[in-house]
Amino acid sequence: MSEPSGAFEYAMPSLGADMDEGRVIEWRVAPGDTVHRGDLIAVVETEKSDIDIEIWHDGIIDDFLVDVGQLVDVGTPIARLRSIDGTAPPPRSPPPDEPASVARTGGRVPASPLARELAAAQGIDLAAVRGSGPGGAVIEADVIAASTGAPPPAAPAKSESPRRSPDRMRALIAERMATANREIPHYHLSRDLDVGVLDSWLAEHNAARPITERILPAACLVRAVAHAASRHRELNGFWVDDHFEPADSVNVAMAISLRRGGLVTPQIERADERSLDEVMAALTELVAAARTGNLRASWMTGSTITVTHLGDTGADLVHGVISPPQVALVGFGRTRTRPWVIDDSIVVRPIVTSTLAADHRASDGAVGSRFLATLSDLIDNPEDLL
Amino acid sequence: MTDHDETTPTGSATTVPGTHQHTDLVTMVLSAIADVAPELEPELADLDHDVDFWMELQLDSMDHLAVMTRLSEQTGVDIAERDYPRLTTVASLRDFLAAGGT
Repeated sequence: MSEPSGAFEYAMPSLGADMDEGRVIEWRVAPGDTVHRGDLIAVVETEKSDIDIEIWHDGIIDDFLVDVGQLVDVGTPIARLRSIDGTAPPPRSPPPDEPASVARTGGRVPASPLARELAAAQGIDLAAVRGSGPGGAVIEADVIAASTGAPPPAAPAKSESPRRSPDRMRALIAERMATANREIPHYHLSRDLDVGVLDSWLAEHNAARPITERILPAACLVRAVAHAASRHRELNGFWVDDHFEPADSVNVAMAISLRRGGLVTPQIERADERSLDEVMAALTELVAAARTGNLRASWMTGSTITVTHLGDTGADLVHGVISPPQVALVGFGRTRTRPWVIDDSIVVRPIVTSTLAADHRASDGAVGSRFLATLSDLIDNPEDLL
Repeated sequence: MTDHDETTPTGSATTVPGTHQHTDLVTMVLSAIADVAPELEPELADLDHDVDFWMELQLDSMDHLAVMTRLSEQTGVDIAERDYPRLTTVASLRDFLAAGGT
């Protein structure tokens, strides 16, 4: 797999299921530099956005294999590195996240839950991974090792390809949404949430804090979705190869609309394990990065459920379209002041309509109803969200 | 945290009213918006300082918080949530910041 010298190649990552190609528009490192897992090494331009890409393991940059501005297919080696200590590195290329490759994760290959999750999130075929765990089971290290493998045949550089344009982004969204509507039998549920308790709780919570530590209702909604998804696992994961693969963690993709048109869906990883403050910080970071075109590669793959929040100038509710291979999308409309019945009296309350679009292949309406009930319960008891 | 004591309406503790000229403050508000929403920069020159610019420019709650955070950090003036409803125009923000948050 790797050369004896410990040399390895880093390939153009897939930064979302609809990305086929990309171009390096800036190197953040130079040949000779030592890099560590997680370092940002380049800025890649895709149809949707400019994205900082991270290296997946330690090494020393030997050479760049593509020119700045050169458009190449996902999987094309773009840099050659060698391991720091000269031993063979755990070679891997960044995760291809194409649903097409995710969809091959079939059968029941013996594998640890973590390996399964990693493989599903990264679109790796478990059946093709050699397992080194007990009984030949695939473990995390195997998946990481397998994901570099031999890079796909390097495509020749394409010279003609327009810079991304709103039209190109539109075309990508069109293709993806058409696939979703053609292949996913959606069912849609809705439930009105009285956010009065949440609003007063937040007002009190925020009044005692400086502006940099205040929480927005949107963060509470995301936190509640992550919580509810961790309790209703049939809605959190991937539909692959005619069966549902639940995910072990809840990675919430946020649909963020861009002012120049279109939208991006970066994720808050493991949102179910984060506190409300951490979710708020992550959300702030994602939105700022999306709006200024500074998204990171690790935010763009592996999401297990999507949230779309229309904001207070938006519509009352959204009947969403699921982003495959996920199986659920949760939507929140604007806050409306409505007459509401509490204990046989009509009162005026702030109401947000929550909706769930779910894949009927993976779950039934009863599951979705329970999910929305859990969500409602969490919004009624905001201290549970901390 | 105690640097921004909301219970001090005069802002005498840490903010110095009049530190910034009105024109500086207008520039500061407009650049905060431009930082948060770079695509809107071309529209800012013609922005009416007396319209609700959050609505006019379709800024959402995340944008709102980001702009307010910048202004608060740059001026040292605390902007409490209860003040938000009256801070919807460039002019009202300018006056509020010039007065040290009153």
